[in-house]
Amino acid sequence: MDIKKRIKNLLFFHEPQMEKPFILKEDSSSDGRDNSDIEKNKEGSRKKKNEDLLLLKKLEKIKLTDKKEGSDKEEKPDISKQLSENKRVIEERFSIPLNGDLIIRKFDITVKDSVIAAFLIFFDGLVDTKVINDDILQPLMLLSNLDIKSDGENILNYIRSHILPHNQLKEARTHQEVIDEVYFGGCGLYIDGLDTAFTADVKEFPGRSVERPNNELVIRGPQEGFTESLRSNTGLIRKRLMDQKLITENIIIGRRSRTPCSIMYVKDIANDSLVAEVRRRLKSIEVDHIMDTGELEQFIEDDPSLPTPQVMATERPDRVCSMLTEGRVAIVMHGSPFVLVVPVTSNDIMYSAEDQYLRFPYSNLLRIIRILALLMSLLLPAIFLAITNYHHEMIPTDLLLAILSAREKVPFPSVVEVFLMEISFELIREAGIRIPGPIGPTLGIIGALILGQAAVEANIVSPILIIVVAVTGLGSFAIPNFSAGFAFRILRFGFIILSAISGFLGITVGLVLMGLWMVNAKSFGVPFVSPVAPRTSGGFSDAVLKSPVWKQEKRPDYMNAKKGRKQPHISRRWINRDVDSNKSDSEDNNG
Amino acid sequence: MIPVEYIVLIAFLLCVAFYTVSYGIWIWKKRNRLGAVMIFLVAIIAVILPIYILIFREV
Repeated sequence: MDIKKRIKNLLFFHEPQMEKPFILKEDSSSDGRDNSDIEKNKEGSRKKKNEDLLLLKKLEKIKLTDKKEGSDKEEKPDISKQLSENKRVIEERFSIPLNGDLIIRKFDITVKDSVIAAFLIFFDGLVDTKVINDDILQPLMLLSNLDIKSDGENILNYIRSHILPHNQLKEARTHQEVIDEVYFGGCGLYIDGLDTAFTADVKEFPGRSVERPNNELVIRGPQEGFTESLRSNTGLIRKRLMDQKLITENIIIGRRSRTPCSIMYVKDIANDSLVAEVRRRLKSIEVDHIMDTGELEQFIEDDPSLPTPQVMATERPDRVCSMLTEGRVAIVMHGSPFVLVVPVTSNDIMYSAEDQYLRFPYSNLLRIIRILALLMSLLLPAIFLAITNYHHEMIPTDLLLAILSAREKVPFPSVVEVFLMEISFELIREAGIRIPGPIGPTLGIIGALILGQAAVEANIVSPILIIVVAVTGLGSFAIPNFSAGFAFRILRFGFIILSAISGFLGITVGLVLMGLWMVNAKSFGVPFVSPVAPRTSGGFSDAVLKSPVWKQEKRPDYMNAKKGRKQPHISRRWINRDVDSNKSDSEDNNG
Repeated sequence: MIPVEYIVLIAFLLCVAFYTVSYGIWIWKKRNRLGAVMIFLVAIIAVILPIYILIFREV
């Protein structure tokens, strides 16, 4: 019976049971294209409207389920009116007295003849003690004999409106809310007789200040990088993008680490279904601890088997802002100096932030060099193997003879030689990073030089291979995205094996397989190789090569942003001498 | 007389074609008629062409 079933499974096609993957479709409220385009497509518009309606319904469903999930997770108010009961709960939750750095400051608020007991909790080392003393304890303890009515509601209002001058005072109905705030550098205030606690933001985290980004250095452009502080990072983004539609949603990830995260997007540009999908994926993560966006990236990416990254991790606020204006969504995480941006395409991982700041001929030259670097990093050792082993006719006879004479004394087959050198190169690179201080890079260079020279003299490898491996290494360093560099390094070994087996045929098979893999991949519903495959319409002019900034009129079509156009057809309005500079720009605006 | 290895190869091809046809039927039910027709065509060619080359073509 079992065999019969197996044979049946082998011979008949079965419908895949997996859930439909998320696909980013056009937003129902988007203008999508130019007005002129819409006029041209009047016939198709009716069909589109129906599709939009369907999408809208789906979107509402998603929102409803989101709300439902949210309401399910919402905890019931559990703060007691008894101060002693609240203190007991807090001591239990924070493992007091075992926990040494949690401060519980008990004090009294004197009101006319009576005394109301209260206590304040905060973590030593996470808060600004001066703010606690001056803005919280001092008013509460010294402003006594106030005309406070006896019922709880009025005490709450009075303290909030008249006594506590702190600028970020929140009311909490559950202990968990207070605990989350306390862990994020806040303080919690419990007052006897009130079933509501106050939380105030008094954070002062120990951490580094804003510095230059280490991995994404540019010559032209801003020199600020993200830090490990969530609010500092969201502030760096807001500082650049003063758009009133820029939204920052807060989410907590990790059952134990309770790591605060923020989703940032421009409300009237980003596709609603994309934002809902990001929110859904983040909220659905069930994990104890999460420390960095590197971990988070692995939790939310579409296809873990794809070698290339499907999420952009950047430490440059200007880059995040530029991507937000294209309709993407940023995920900022407390404790990580890298911000994730989704969705991402293969082009994005080949761009540097500097591309936007340089004049277009310069950045195009850099992009072409980077594409060549990618090809060299991926294929050069494989091509070398294919030519020397299988396709001698492809190179001039003199060069072939030179290669063969250099290899004459080498006892290994060329594939062993290539592997030996590639592994040595990776070893030097890894060791160079791990060696502390400034010795690392120096030792790496010296190691490479000495090793290379010695290996050639010992007839272990041929000199031409040293050149091939060095150029390959340089190529891999020219790829701007760190994770993508890793991907191409791994794939390079695959291509070397394929080339050793069957020369250019193997390389071609590898390229076809890699192409299929990439074309099939999606990053948050956006095809990974767009706008090349599938080729998207519209005048997006920052695809492989870029046009001048004043010609970059549209947002990427594959983003399906609510507003497709980012600047009018003629953005340099000064070229028209009739245009009055005082005239409102609303006529030609993108809307 | 057809060699045994040819028979094995043809049997394998027939299995592949059978699977492809079953996929074509699924696609047909999903109302992708053109896709289904092309898949049937591919299945037929995938059987007929190798058989023709293996058995009937004189080298």
